Amino acid sequence: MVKPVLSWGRAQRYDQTVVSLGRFETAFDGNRPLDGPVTFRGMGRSYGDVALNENGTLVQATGPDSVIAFDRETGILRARSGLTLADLHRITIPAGWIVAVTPGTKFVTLGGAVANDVHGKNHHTAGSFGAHVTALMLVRSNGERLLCSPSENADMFALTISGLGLTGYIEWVELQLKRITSSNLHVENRPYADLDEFFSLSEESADWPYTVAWLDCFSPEAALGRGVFSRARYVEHGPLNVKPADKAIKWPLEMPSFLLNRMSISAFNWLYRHRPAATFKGQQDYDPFFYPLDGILDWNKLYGHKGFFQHQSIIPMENGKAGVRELLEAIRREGQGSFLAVLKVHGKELSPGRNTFPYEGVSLALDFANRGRKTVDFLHRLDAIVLAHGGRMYPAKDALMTGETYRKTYPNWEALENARDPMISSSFWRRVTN
Amino acid sequence: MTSSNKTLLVLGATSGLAQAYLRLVSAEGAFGTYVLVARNGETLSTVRDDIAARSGAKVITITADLSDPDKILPVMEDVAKQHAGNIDEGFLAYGVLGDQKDFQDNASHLKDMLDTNFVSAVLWMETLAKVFETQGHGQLVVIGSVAGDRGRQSNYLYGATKAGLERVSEGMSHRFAANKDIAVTLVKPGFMDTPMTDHIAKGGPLWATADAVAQIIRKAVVKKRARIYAPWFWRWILLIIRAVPMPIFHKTKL
Repeated sequence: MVKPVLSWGRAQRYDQTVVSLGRFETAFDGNRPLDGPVTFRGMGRSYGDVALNENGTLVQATGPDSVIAFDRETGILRARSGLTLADLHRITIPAGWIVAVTPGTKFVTLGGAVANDVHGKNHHTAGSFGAHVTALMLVRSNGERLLCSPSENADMFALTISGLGLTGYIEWVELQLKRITSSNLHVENRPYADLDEFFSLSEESADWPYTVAWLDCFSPEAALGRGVFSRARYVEHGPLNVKPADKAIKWPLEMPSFLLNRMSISAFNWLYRHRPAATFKGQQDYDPFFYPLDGILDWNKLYGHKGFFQHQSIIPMENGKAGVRELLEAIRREGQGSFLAVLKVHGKELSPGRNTFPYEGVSLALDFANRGRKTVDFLHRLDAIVLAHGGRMYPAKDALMTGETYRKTYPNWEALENARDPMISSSFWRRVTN
Repeated sequence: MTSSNKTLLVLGATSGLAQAYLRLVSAEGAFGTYVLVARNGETLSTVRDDIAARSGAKVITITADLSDPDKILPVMEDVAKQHAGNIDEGFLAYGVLGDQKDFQDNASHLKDMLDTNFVSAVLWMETLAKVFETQGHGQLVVIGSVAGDRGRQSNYLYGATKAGLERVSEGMSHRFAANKDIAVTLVKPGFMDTPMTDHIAKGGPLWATADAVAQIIRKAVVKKRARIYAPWFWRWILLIIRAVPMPIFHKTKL
């Protein structure tokens, strides 16, 4: 069936032939003749085009989601790649296990988490998702099945983790989960005054497993980078509760985009900084802590019909403060603000992924309503600032960086191109390699 | 993890709805033993691993063609031999949808469908009724369909088998009305997004996921309801469809 498919940012809308994998099927098994090149898609939470395939075939791969084995003693779980973190946690949390690394949404598949080598609030202590993958099964279009692990087919393993789904169909993933004795975290939120304070708080909180900051991009010049710093660790004794599946509300419509402007964003930022939770200290359930936006399904429609762009960059530590400052100044000058500006200090990368986005440095994630050419030009200016400070952008969130920028900042891209399955490609890959 | 000592027998365990139901009760820890029967052994072992991992319970599988009446006794003996306990709940989920036009043209396809959906299903129901009677308790869940509510040109042959199951389960509910420990629930799902309907374009408010239907079934089982539409609105849709006078009904293409 040919139909338009949108990126999560909804700024890209491409016609593609959509086919779905049934619950027990594997791709490339001979029973399924696929017109290449194909792109495999999970929950479609990538903001840009890494899981889009304009005018090509999109294989919806969420069907196969069965658990193959779960050892409640060791916390090793092996499951088909379509399993989402939300479903995984319903199985593992009651047994005292949680994924060691989670992105900001639980609606991602294991396959997508591996392909984008996602990271979370504990990057400085746990690295990216791939650091906890113990093995995976890669199915190539020639019928080859490659068991990949740190010791077996290690090159392919390292290229598949952060390989953007290009090396083959990821049939199953095996993970080492993290032991928890409660699903509650002890959380401390505190407003901070400027970038200097953010960096000193990050340093002081290095032994907190989870740290992140939300920042106000319309702060006055003197308070540039001010926001709310949040740090957390699991409590030792408490309940092991899982969020039920049916508790989220659904955002019903595309919001008129004129509602998002400097005034409304400033008002939101003021409220966010001054809400009682901004100084919250106490226990919080893992779900609202890790997945604040998952409470509203389809929140991406908040940005109206034209959608929005995400921009997440990481800048090496030595240039971190200067780079973030310059980015924030550019945003102030432009007057294009972002509700969800997130700042985080990252540690050494522990994942074997060869094209993994984070490294030791500071990352800034922003989103901007799509106002056409103006926004595109502005984001390219942000890219240039990132580049000038030796940083790079995150493919899972990117829709706009040039091929030159990508190839320069991901020097291992050629190894990925060489390992790419000839039957697989994506809109993103064609964009950055042409 | 579960401390339950109850047993669930699922006939047609690889169907989309059966799996959704199995995952739901696994998460609840409702059963300590699962006996899963299906025709495709490879798929069945995938389901076994999945349910074993999710429930932490004992999972027994039996590969058998459920539509074959001669297989019922051997399978039941196999269940008794491998498990040797009570069957607290039976879930009958197998069936084929097929194509009305094909059934009109091909008598042998039609017979196979009637045998699978009706003849063997009734034999299984009676077998389980006897087991429940002997052990003094048990619950049976049978998947019917809204298609059984009125004969329509687009699928009355399939619909007839589901209507037949409804009569059998209705009679069985009557038969066990005096026994509070034995219950039969007939479920009538509407449009459901499962592999059975993969050839149909889906979407729109009438389509329900297998997970949603499984939750409705679970509630009905706990309440020992004799008959339930899933989701509820089908009850009213079918009430209208049944009420349309024949001269008008015959002008439609339903």
